[in-house]
Amino acid sequence: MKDLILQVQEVSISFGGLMALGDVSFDLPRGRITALIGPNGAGKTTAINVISGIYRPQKGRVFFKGQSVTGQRPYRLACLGLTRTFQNIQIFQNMTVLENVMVGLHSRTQKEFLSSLFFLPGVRQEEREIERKAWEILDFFNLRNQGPWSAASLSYGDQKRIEMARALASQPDLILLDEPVAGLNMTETLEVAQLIRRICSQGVSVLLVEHDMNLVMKISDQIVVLNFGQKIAEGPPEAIQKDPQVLAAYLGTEV
Amino acid sequence: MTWGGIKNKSYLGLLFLGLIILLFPLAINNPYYLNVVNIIGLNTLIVVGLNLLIGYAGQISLGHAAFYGLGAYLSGILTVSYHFSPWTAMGLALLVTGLLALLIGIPTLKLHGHYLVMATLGFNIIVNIVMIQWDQVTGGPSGFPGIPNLKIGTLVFDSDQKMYYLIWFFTFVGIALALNLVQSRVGRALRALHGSEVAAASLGVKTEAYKVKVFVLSALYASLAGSLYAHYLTFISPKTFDIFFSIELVTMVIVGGMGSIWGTLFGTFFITPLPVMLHFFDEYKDIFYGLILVFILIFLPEGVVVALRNRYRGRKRNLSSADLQGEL
Amino acid sequence: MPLGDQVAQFIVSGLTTGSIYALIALGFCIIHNATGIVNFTQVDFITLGGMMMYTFLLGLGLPLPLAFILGVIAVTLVGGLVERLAIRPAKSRAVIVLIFITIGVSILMRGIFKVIWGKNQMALPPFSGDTPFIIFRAAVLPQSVWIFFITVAVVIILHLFFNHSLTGKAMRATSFNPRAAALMGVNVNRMILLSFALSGTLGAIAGIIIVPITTLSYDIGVMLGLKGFAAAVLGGYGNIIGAIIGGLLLGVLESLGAGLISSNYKDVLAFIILLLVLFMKPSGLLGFGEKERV
Repeated sequence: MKDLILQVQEVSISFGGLMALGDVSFDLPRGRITALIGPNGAGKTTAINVISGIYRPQKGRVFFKGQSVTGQRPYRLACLGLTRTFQNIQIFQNMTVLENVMVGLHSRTQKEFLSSLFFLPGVRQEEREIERKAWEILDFFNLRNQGPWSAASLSYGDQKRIEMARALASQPDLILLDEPVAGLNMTETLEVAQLIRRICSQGVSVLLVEHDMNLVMKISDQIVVLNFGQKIAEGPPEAIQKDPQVLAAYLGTEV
Repeated sequence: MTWGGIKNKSYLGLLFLGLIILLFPLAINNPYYLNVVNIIGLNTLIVVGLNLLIGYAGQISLGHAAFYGLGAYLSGILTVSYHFSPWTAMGLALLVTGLLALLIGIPTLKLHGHYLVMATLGFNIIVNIVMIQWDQVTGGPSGFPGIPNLKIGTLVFDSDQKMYYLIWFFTFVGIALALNLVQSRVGRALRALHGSEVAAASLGVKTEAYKVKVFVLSALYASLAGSLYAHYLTFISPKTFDIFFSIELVTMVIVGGMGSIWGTLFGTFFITPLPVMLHFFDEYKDIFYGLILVFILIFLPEGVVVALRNRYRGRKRNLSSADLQGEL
Repeated sequence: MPLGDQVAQFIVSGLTTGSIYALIALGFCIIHNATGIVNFTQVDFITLGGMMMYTFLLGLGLPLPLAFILGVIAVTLVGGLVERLAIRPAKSRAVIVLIFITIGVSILMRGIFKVIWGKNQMALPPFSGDTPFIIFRAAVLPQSVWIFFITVAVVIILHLFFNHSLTGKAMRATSFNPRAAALMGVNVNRMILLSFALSGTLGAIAGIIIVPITTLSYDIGVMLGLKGFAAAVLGGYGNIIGAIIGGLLLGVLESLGAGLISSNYKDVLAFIILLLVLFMKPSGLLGFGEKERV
């Protein structure tokens, strides 16, 4: 029995009569990079939103590290070790790059309102720790110089990296990347590909939603294909590339 | 700008503020001016708390005059009608106001944008009407007189000068605590909540709980100010705690600059004396007030202090940051 | 008076105020649909309608229909002016900033009213006398009849406007999807201007027809306006039909509450209803829920 970090079982969700996901099931092996692909409107982002707790499915269950997490709130999932990035960047424009990453450490730290208000002992120490760890993460992502800058002033590509850095700061066991290279050029895409590999080599499982087929085929260990809210294929890249249903979904069938 | 750096600057600022507070009455002894400065102090206390809610957490409340009034009326009623000692009454007022803020806050802070605005407005109106109509308890529209002064041992706080020290002591502490909060993990989480609620949640920030907690905290600040107000003026009336005062409070936050604690001082110093200074123009007071508000909002929506700070620093802090995006 | 008659009385007077709330709610609705904001100056359009009527009718001695029309036109123009001078030039388009600008303008307008017309209460005569009719065992003021019919007329005209005129349909298109509307050649800025002008019209009419019953002062519009907003939320904020139903329903509930439970706390009822709706079903009676897509 493979070690599975995530199990999606027969998840269905509709929005006002439109079925976004219908009986979708797939598993994510631990410590691997899994890609979720499909044509536009296939339900990939909906699936990510269900897994990350933003939507509650009407049917089906989600298991994370063997525990049922269906419908759990995002902050709860973050504490359990599940985090994500966003298709339309959601970095904190009102903070610096460093502060963005420091927020990533929120789920791993404790000092609450009362201690912070009264600056009780331990607050200063925790803050020092948070800052230290944040710098470390910035180093990993090669963003140390940009630390003190306003996050809003960075380039699109750098902002995407900040989001990844921030998510990684929460020390996740599973990270969901929602179109991490959308809008990036070839060089930037290669850099992100390397980053993802490095993240995975640190023991973090990755679920990747992407349109860039080169990237997907190159770095994924396995691929899940959605179309019209249904899973149509699941397997290693070589198999998916030859799967007739997948080809039909992307290229259309011959008339 | 590391965390350590910010902290030191703030301590310096606090020290400076403390000195000014201590020395001010030596320069200005006129009870009339002291009275104005005292009201400024009370307003600052409220607005510091309100700014945590609006500027940092990115929420909005057009109902904080209600919490101010609750503090004042609870203190007044408990001391006059039920003979509690003023300090005990103040503590009880804090407790009751806090609980009410919690009860109201939980459903209210689930709302966003104009729904949130109107819910807080509606709450203020309801509380204000109760103040006016429940006259057996509150004295009705003609107000509630005879509230005793605060005292510590034999020292009775019955003059503008003595209340000056008491009021500004509390305000100073309030600012210090707020600075602590803002520069902590919690403060960062609040700003994150403001920046992107969904991203903050995905990183482990309990967004709903935090919103309610900061709402309750800001209500407590207002309640404390209300109690001090009651024991200072010894007479309170519902007119002080209506929605127009709530609007004034938010104006102070906006003018000072949302998300800047020092900015709130500017905001309260600027707005509070306006009706007094414009007393000659009592007729035209509202016109001036409205014009100022509109001008600042049209041309300096990030607030005066923040705008100046940005210009001075030269660093491009994006204007359409989540401070202003209708992400409320 | 037997209970049945009392209730009939309350319902009739409730429908009267309810019609006013409906008109005001429509004003809020139209601006919200076009711009996404709550326009606080709506409350002052109501007051201004009454004030204009006072000046034209009693100050200048114009005949009633002329004063009515001039008053409405004047406030409509003011509505457009507000948009042009205060909303359009704003640097930030954030909803909350714009809302606060309308709050600032509202304060400014009330300040101007105080200077021009003073702080005292004034009275406007009813359109056709004040001897009540008896309809269904309830005493109905002639003014109430005017209110009812004028409201119905306004609603019909609005319906025709929004559904059968090009401009009206353009406004609806803008409210659903401004970008698409712009691509179709709709001048979105002009639609916004129009929405403010229209809310001025509605506010003015509401003010003119209710003031003979309630008396006139520089801040008469505030309470009426806020309750009108509560009615809009009750019916389903942004929903035209909801505004009307919400208004009438709120008027009747308020009247029944004041009559049967307590008249002291009458004003509280509207806001308790507002809070209850916001807490339990913010989309109101006829609205749809909204799901945020990330």
